[in-house]
Amino acid sequence: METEIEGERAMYVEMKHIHKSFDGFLASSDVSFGIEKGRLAALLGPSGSGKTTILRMIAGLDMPDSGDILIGGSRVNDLPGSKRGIGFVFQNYALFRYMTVAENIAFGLRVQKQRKAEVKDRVDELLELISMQELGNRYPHQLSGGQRQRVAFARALAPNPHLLLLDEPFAAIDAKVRRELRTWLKGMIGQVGITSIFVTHDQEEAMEVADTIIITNQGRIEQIGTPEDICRNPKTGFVKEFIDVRRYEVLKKVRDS
Amino acid sequence: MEQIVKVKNKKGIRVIPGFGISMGVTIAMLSSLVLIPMASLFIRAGALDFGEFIEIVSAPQVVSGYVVSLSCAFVSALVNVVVGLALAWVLVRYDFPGKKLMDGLIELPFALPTAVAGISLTCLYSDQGWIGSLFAKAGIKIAYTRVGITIAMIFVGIPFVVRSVQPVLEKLDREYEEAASMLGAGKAYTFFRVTFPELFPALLAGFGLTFARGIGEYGSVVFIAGNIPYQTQIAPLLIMMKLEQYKYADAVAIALVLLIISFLLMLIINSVQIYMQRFSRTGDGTNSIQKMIEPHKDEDSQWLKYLLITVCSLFMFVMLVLPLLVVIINALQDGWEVYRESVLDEYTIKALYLTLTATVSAVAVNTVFGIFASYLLSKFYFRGRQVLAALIDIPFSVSPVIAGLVFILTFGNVGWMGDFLKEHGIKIVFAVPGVILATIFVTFPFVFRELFPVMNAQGKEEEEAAGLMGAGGFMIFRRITFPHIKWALIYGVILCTARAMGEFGAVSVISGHLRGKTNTLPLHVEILYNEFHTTAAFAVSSILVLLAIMILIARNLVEWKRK
Repeated sequence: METEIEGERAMYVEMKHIHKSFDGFLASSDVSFGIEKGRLAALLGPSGSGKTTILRMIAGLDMPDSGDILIGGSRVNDLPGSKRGIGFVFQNYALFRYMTVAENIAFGLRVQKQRKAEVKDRVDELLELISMQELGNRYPHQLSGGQRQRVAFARALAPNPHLLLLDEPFAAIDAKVRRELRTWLKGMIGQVGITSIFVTHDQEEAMEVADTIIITNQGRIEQIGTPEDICRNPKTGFVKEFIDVRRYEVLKKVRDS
Repeated sequence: MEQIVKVKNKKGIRVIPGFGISMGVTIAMLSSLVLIPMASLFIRAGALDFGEFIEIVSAPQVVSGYVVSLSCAFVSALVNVVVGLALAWVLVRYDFPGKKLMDGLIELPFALPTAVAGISLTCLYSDQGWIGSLFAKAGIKIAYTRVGITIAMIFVGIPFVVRSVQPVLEKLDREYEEAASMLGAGKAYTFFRVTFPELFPALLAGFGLTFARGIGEYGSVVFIAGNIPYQTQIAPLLIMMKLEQYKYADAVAIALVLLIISFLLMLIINSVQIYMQRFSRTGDGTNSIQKMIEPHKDEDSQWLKYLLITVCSLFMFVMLVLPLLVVIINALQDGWEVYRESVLDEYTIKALYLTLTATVSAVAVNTVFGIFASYLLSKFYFRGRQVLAALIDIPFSVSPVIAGLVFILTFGNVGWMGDFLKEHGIKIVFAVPGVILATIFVTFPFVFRELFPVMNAQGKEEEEAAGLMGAGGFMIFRRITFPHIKWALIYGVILCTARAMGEFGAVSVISGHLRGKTNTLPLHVEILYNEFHTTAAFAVSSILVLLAIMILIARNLVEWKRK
């Protein structure tokens, strides 16, 4: 549940002076930012701007060349991803194709060798959360894109992670279904109260869903702030350009919300 | 077999020209070279009275033949699955010195004639052989036992599992393993619960191919088996023995049972594969840019890496490199002069000539067939596509000895065409045409199997566009189709050549072993070996080894170009 520390803004996730190169290509350049506990943050930027790299480094799927990554106050650079207590939703969901929905969701719990009964309860709980109670025995190939997304979400949440990371969660969804899913996801995350970071290149998505937006460009952080902040006070030329088109609609939305 | 995607039929008019001729050529060649000869077997079997049939196939010696073939093939297939998986893993996931060499050697069992493999394996594992002697000290016999048979079957099956699993492993989305890792799973857990199911269909396909190949295998097994009744007599050998005794009814009966077993096996495996294909139809979206820049990150633990690389290298050395060395060393053991004599011997030269003739004919015929058939099956939609594709694959799963048998039953004196041919003075069986036909049969699907997946994946839009603009069939093929299939075609030709040169079992049945007339090089090797001219046998084998190495190099060059 929400535990915001009043006054002193304690950061739950922090990146400090992170650098990362792949074979000479500079993916992250002096990246530093912090995200408060319980917040839903968006890493927003054009393709190739380094946002997914940042997400993967937080997850432990990639290692920074230098800099520190802190989760809950502790430096996690040397901790493997599997031990960081993070739930990750992949862009293509990566649902295990030869397991049922229920087995997918149960995976993280079985790894921890939890008792059968407990596993079943938790899986049922999550199936209810994603409104797919009847679909536990289906296989991924029998699900729609939106359903797969929800299963990926449930699977990531099953082991009660402290941090939820989502890599372009709506990229593979039809435009029609996207809005519904967006609203649903924001609601779910709020309900569960978990600190979350998602990567997107879609500004409307970031503006609508996130509490905090981190704008990336060419491996650098351009600006960090609430959607309102960013619209009202774009700090760099890039941000002005990038956000420009949507300013009116977004401001309207922000004022209305 | 590639799953044929159903495509909407354009009612009436076919936009792409060439349907008639493709269908005509395909059906004509398939019928005359494969279906009709195969039918001879079934017709002959049908003539058998059921009681007689049961009596033959349940004779203790025959039953032992099935048991030996099936059990050894099964074990060899299991071993190949495990080792093949390890080899594929090592070749895809790791980098190490000698990796390219390991990858390049995998096809050696394809390129090396089975007879050569047979004699060199026998030499290696006999009680005086390099490996055999080591085990003999412990009182373990390998040659002339079922263990020896199994090892020979492992040898011929090596490429099947590796090449089946490799492409799947290469394309496997890293996300599955990453997802498992993020959910807390360790490497081993992830491998068994997540990666293995993804590889299972490919493993099953490889298993099936190895198993089927082992059941029908003759050349590489017959030497090391020793043919001890009730112990090491494989089923194909029994067929051969019956043929030599002119007991055609017996041969037919045994062959029929073997065929039924092979077909059932293929049917089961294909069904499981089709069933499992359903699961993989979760259309993955585009890969993010991330994946394109990034090399494979998560390393297996060091000790596992070293263990696997060492085991695989050892396996490759013992199974593939040692037999080659055996050939070369034994060929030269009596000195250079003796070597030269054997190689330049008149019968050797004639055998070489016949081998080349048969090979060139087989490659030519099967390339023509392969082009027409894959064009037909990939660019046109018609009822029976699947059936046709399955029929084309028949020679691939039929034992070479049975292939020889069906030709005898068709064109031999006892065949239904026998009288006709006699009247017209045409000799096919026990003559050169028979050798050529048998070689064509055995290598029939090879070029097709390489071309079809490529053409199928390519789709037909380009050809349709050209057809709509009025282009004729030949022009479409030359300008549009051919550029796509160039390398696949060359690759198919190389494989076909390799298999044709090394053909032994079918040709053995149909040739009559007339030295100087109907002996191919592998047959010549067999004769020399059986007459205890061991050095000469290996000397002649060395020619084939040289050709095999050239084929391997050619194949690797093409593979490199394709990538």
